[in-house]
Amino acid sequence: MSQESYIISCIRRLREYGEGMVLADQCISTIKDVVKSNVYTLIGMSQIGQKDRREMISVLGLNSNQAQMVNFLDVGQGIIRLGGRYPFPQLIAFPFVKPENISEKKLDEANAKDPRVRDLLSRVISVNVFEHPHLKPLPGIPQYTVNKESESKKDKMFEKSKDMLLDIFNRFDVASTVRAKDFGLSASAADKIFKFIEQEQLVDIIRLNLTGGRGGTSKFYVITNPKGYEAISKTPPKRSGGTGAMHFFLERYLKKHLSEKGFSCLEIEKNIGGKRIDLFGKYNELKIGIEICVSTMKSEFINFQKDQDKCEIVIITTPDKKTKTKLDSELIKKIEPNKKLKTCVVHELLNHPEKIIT
Amino acid sequence: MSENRSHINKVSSPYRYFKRPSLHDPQNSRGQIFEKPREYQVKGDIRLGNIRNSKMIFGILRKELVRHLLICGSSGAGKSNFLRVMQIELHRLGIPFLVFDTAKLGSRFLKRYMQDLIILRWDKEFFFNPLQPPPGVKLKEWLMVFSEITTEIFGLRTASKLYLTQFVQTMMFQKNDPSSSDFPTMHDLNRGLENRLKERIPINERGYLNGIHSKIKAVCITLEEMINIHQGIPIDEMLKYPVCIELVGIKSSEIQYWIISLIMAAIASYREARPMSFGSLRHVFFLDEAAHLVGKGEV
Repeated sequence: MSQESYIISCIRRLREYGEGMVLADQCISTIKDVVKSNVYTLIGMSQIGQKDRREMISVLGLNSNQAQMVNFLDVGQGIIRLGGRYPFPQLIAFPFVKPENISEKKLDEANAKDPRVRDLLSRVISVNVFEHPHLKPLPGIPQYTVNKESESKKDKMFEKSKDMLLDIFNRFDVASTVRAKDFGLSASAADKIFKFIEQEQLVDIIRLNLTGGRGGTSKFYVITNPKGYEAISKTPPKRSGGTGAMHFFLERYLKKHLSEKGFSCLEIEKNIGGKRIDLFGKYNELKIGIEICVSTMKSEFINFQKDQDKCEIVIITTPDKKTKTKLDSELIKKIEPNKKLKTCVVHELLNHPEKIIT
Repeated sequence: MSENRSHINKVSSPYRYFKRPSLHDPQNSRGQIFEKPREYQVKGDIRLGNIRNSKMIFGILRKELVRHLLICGSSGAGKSNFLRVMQIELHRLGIPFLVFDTAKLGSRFLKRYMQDLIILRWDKEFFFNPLQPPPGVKLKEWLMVFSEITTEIFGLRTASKLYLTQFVQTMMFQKNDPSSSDFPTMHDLNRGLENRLKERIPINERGYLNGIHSKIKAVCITLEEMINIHQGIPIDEMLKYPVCIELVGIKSSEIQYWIISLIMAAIASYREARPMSFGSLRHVFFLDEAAHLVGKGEV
């Protein structure tokens, strides 16, 4: 059994990922048949060996007259044949590119000035700590220097925002406007701090309407980034299941607020028989599984099929109405109407869970 | 012929030459040997050259280049010139490419036509750690690829591949700080093999490890600082620019093609870890003397 070499399999796979390959060689007869037969554009230039000429004639599909031309090909001429668009051999003269040498010294200078080369070299981590000559500061070219003033401002801002971050960690379910009021900050002062923690990517922003009122969405902050936890010296919680910030926030928000609405034994990412349910709880002795659907509308029916044996009612909740209509239309395609399955927007579940369950 | 080409010294771009072919045409005396195509049949973004006895320019489409191109010709037929034409065309279209120069410093000459061509010399600017997986690729997966290629190129036996995979994996997972992104270097691998061979080990294993060690040692002695690094030049960044890697000076073609195939495999693994392109051309890889890697006799 002949085994395909790894390189040949690489060439085959590279096509799927938009990587074009230009292969060149002296003798056409030495190239593997699998490569020759899989190449779309084939160019044959003058060949000296009899074996190579014969191979070239057969691969390019030349007739007897054309085959004679193979012996007369001049420098810079070649016979080309495409795979499908124009599958007839064609004689072509290639333009001549005059080579001009560039000395080592000139190349050194060009590379030392090239910001892309400097960037590539700056990422190299060497065993022997050394400074590459190309990375030395260039005379006459302004170097990037840290603005000390702005750096100290940043530190001050960071100190100010630490308390805010701790508050976000402890009271994640409070909207930003309420949080600013609690801190006794003016709108502009609070805005500065919020902007800073957003820019530094210490928090994720979530906009949700959790009351169902007409006031629009409120802005919530949630720390999901390790950088954010580092800033307040806390260890990030173990995460499983949905990885998005919205999913993370809603799981915790629902757990906290559904207990006030008659739910008991609420548990996040509960593992029942190998299947994890986003939020599991009991409502009037009914086992309820709540799945949060943020963007995976098409695959949500799988969650329902897995959860329905373990729970009496499965609620799939979405952050907004638009997602819910999308979800409903996807579920209709895949599942027959089922009494066990309920879909709702988060604020409906938070305000009137009894309406959804009964 | 030199008289005909004397004007070329004055032109700044090789494209002007498309309009005025002046090469000897053997077809004139022999009638219409090749069928004359319609213009739309041979029109393409990447212009290759003039069709003889016609003003038409033969070009290929970008999506056609994704399905690869093979050019064969004896030495002096104009292969390297054709590769330079292709590189200029890709540069004109803003398609990044990667060229390896193994013998002639041919691509360096293009700096005149492409000021933004990056030339990385193996002994100066090019640094590569074969044990560092490309971004997004699992370490274990990459180590298997590394062993596969190393044994394939150096002609080692299948059992050597297993021993090498096992050895490299143990070395990787035994490092002091597994969370650190400082990967062991090829020199570390060489030292590790040396230490292992000093121990009392079964004779079978000794034989295979000896074979691997001799090749790895040759690589370390030849490439020295180029591979004595924890993290090399990032592959993903290199794919954004027109780059030429000069391996001229590495006298062993085995080692040259070992580097080339590892880089090719790294690109393939990196691309595989990302979404498919569905036929659109992202990058082009030039491989001269391809028989070293895809030939019947070799590998």
